[in-house]
Amino acid sequence: MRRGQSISLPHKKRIIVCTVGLLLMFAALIVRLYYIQIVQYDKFAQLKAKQYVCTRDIEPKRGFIYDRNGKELAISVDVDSVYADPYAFKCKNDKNKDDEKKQEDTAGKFSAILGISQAELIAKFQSDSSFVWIARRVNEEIARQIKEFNITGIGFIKEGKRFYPDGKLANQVIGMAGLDNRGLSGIEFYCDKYIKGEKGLFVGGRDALGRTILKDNQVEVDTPEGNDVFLTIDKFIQYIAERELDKTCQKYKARAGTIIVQDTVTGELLALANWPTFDATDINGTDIALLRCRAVTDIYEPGSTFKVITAAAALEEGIVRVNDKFFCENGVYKLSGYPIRDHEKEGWLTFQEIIEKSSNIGVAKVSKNLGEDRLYAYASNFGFGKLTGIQLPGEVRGILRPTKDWSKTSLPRIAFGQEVGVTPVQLITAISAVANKGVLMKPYLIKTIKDKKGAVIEEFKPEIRSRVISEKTAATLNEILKGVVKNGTGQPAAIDGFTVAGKTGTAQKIDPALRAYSPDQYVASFVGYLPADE
Amino acid sequence: MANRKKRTSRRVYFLYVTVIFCAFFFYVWQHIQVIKVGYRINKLQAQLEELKNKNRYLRVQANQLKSLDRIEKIAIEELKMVKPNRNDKVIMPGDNR
Repeated sequence: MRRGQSISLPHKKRIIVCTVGLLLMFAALIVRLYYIQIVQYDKFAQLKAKQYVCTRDIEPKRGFIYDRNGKELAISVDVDSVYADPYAFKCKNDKNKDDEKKQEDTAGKFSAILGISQAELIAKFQSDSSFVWIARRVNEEIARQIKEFNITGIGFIKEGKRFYPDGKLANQVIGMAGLDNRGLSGIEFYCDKYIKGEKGLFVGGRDALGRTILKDNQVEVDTPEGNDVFLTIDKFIQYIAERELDKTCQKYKARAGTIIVQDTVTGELLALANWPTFDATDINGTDIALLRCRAVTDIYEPGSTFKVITAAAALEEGIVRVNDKFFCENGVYKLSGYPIRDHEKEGWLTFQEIIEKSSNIGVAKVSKNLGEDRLYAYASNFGFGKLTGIQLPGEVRGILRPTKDWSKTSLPRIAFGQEVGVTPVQLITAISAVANKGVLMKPYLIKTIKDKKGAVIEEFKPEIRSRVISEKTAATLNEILKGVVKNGTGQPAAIDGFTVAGKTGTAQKIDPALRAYSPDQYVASFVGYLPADE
Repeated sequence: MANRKKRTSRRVYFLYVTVIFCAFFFYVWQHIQVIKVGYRINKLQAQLEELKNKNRYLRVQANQLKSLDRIEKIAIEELKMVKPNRNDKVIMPGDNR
């Protein structure tokens, strides 16, 4: 077409049609763009975030548990858990010989390493699910061996596992944590909210291959960790207590035993040993009752060790003096028709000798002068029948009935340790008050709780509960208790080079069949302290 | 004169294109670098976590080796050490006893 030449009408029409068509198409595109970008903005923004933004929870690691000197008692370490994708082994519906062979080969290899039967493993490989656990929290060596097989369909996930490096040491105190990272017993349970830590959130970018990439607004990178708990327990003292308890319980074929070591001035528990024990790293087949810390959850009749409380009350109230004499009836004394017996036939004894020789008759006569109300008040003030508040789960109050429930024989019986139920922690705390010049302290097991940076979250300090007897009475009682170890029933507790004070107790057990005290089953106990001259 | 003007404007045009091209490449390059560094940081973080975990595991092993039960066993069974009896002890006079 030459310049200046006009466009013919049909051409003009075509151009107009094309232009209008193009404009309509553009208009449609703009409308669509508006719909996607403005109207459906949220939906597509979410879709984009789902593809590009990677968000996942980060399981926290449990904090450590340390002894008073910073020695680790419980540590969390990530270990491998083995899982299988049964689709990689094919479903049983369309299995063929190759799949069967792969299942059998893998099961054969794993069976020996994991200690799981081949049949059980094959059943897992034939599962209809796309994910099945093969073994949780396996040790490093097992994980290495399985990784070496490099089998398609077998994968690994890191999970936290609790290790107790000293094996059974203090396991009823430390307790244990379950597979779900929760404390089940002991300190692990009591301090769970501190130890388990808070879940973390990872927000990062994701590339086309699904790999994680850092983003400017990444929220969390480090794995969150729980707080560390520092106990008052001394690992070394705990070890000695457990070793000696084990030896003694085995020697006398005891059903159970407890040793507690307490700082009498602060109330801190330095050792808390229970027997029998369990292995917290492998509790399969373990009697669940072994998990409890008997020293706080079990009660027993304290027997003659309770005479210390009667003696403290009588001395404090001025009812007796150390050299006051009582006739001990040559071994048998009837009170309200109830015969009280001594293990030795004794005549006249001073009050000091009554405690040294642990005469039930002598104590019963003293208690008559003391009276029900005063004995009850002192026993209660010493902490019997009440929770000590120790930081362990399952503590019991013990049994100290109000005087209105006492029978005619309750006063003498309670005075020498029958008809009352105490926990070992209650008893040691009460006797510690005598050693602590009459001041009753609150027993405690946790010194501090710190975060991973070492900042103190909670700190526990010695706490005075009350003054239960005067300093003078405590000093007199101290001399009497020294005499028990020097001249009386507590002589085997003497230690060369130290002055030891204490009191023995042999309480008859209740025989449920006889509904009476058993003639041949006893709870033997000793409670004492050193150095008694300090 | 007209040719010179034409050549100058072509040079300016070429310069503009080059600058825009370089700026574009710089922009792309620095983005790639950021992503690369991101990958590297991620990898190092995973390594750090792995090392921390190894450290914890070593602490477990060290504690197991230092356990009092094991040390006593070695002392008695391998080194043939014995516990002192009463006559082997000399009590020193001192305070607080």
